[in-house]
Amino acid sequence: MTRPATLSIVAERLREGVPTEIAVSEFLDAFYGCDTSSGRAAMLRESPGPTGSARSDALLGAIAEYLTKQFTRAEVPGWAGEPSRVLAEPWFTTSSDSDAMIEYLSFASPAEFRHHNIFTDFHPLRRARPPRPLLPE
Amino acid sequence: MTPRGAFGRDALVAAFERIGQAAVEQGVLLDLFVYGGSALMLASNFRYATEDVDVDRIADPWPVWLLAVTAEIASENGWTMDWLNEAVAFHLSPLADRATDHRPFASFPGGGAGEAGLRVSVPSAPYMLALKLKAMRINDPSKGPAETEDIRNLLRVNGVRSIDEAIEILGRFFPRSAKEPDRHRFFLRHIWPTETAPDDPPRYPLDRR
Repeated sequence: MTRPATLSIVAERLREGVPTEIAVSEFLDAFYGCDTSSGRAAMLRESPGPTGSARSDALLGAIAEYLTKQFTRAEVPGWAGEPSRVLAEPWFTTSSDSDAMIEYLSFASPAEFRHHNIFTDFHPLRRARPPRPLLPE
Repeated sequence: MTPRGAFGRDALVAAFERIGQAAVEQGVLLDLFVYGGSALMLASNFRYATEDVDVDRIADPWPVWLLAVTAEIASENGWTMDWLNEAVAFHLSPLADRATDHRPFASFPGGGAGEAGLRVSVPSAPYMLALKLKAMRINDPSKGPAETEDIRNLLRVNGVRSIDEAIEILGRFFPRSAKEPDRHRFFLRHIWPTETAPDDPPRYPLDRR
């Protein structure tokens, strides 16, 4: 159960049937545990292969964009902006179909997720382990 | 079946057995308080896998024998070295009592810890619900569905009949969160379990022995 060290490996695990919550959480612990901007950027650099799920492909793009902007000093990797990383239809990450919840998520979702047509809550991708402070490089 | 990449209950119980044996060899009694998905996986009938094992602070630094046995377990199972981690400690309630707000899950090695071994406890059902409500990650793009189901099941386990009751339980452990509960009320309204109880109703905490 070695943690996936790149989003590319996350995509492989999703293809193999590992649940999203497990594969992504493991990756986040590895990412937040890295204490250099360059190390974190390297974990996001390689383009993940297709997972077989349009939502997962877009989610990986949103994760790369969000983590890069929030937790590194690097540029967002180019692959995250490819058309396959943007959903044709909006995805509201809720089990509710109420108009109020849809409106809430439309407002709350960070721009890095909205760019991919994904609408989620404030501060997504939280883990019990907070990101380590970045070391100077 | 445990999903690939996740801890299963049997593997975790076997790991605790090893720690319990090591504690006996050292002649010490170690109390471990387990939280989050791992507590639900161990002591509920509705969660079957988790990605890590969250425990309250054990000691600073950990005793050498505990570092050694957890590293051995990690190496033998292909787990990460920090598979047993204290990161959750920051999120626990200072108002939760170790005796009254936790329940014994099991003692290791099997047969029960005497003066030496490992005793594992999990949060009581109300405390577990309060922890889940405080975190409120129901809309997270990766964990949202599992978190939503955990909260629905814990509402049923606790016999909670109204949002006010749920907020009261949150307030017992996290009074500041319950003081301005509008966000929690909004979310609870949208995930409130409406269907009739399933044939195999959710149960927590289950005693192992």
